Amino acid sequence: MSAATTSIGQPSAIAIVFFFLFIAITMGFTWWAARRTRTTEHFYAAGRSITAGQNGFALAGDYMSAASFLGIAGLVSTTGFDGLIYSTGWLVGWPVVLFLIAEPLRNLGRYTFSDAVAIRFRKTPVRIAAATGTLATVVFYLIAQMVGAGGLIKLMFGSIMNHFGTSSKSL
Amino acid sequence: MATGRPASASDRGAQLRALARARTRIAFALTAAVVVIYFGFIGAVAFARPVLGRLVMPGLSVGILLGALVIVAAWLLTLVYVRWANTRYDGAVHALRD
Repeated sequence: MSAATTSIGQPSAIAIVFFFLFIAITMGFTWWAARRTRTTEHFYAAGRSITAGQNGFALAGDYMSAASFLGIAGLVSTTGFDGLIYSTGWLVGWPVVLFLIAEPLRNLGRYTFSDAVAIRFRKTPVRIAAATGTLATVVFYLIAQMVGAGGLIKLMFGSIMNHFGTSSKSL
Repeated sequence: MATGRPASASDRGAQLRALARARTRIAFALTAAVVVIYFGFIGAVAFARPVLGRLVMPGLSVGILLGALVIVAAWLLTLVYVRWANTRYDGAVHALRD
């Protein structure tokens, strides 16, 4: 009981080391991949060199975002298993994207939804509408991500600040 | 749908339209299946909570079981689509291209 309540929010050297290690590896991959990107095809499809299995892992990594790790875990920890219904909603969206959007995108040789729609219609209004929808979605998604990241940072580092700032007896 | 193109071209056009119709039919049927399954589950969560709260076995309620089955159903429907695309659709597209 006491172990469970006190271990959360306490500074952990291992957790912090892994945090920075993870950031360093991610940045390294990004830098390495960005240097190899030359064309649109490189940027969106990695030059068609990614296998279906690799792409599956990439999508899975995309799916296991802050929402899955922090959001659903937090919902389950505070409201019980009712929180799990959110995980079904996210998963169920993927097959629908596959059925309705993936094949037309591939047939058109385009990479984004607005590119595909712009082929058939006047380009400027389509792009304005797509950009507006995308930015509106991304802003709200990003707010949730930032709040999640901030909560995580506070859990990891906030207690260290308190540690150094307020108490000398535990040093 | 009538066109003034030569016979072979309009033939291929008809084949292409038939293939596109088949793809649309499959895509919308599978999407409808996903929508029915998911919103059925969410509807049950909203309106039939006592039923979902019943225990199948200790520690496992009907709701958790159905939620897991929704995820499994999404996998299976994806599998159906992938099998269809790999065995029928891609072959037909390549045949039309050549």
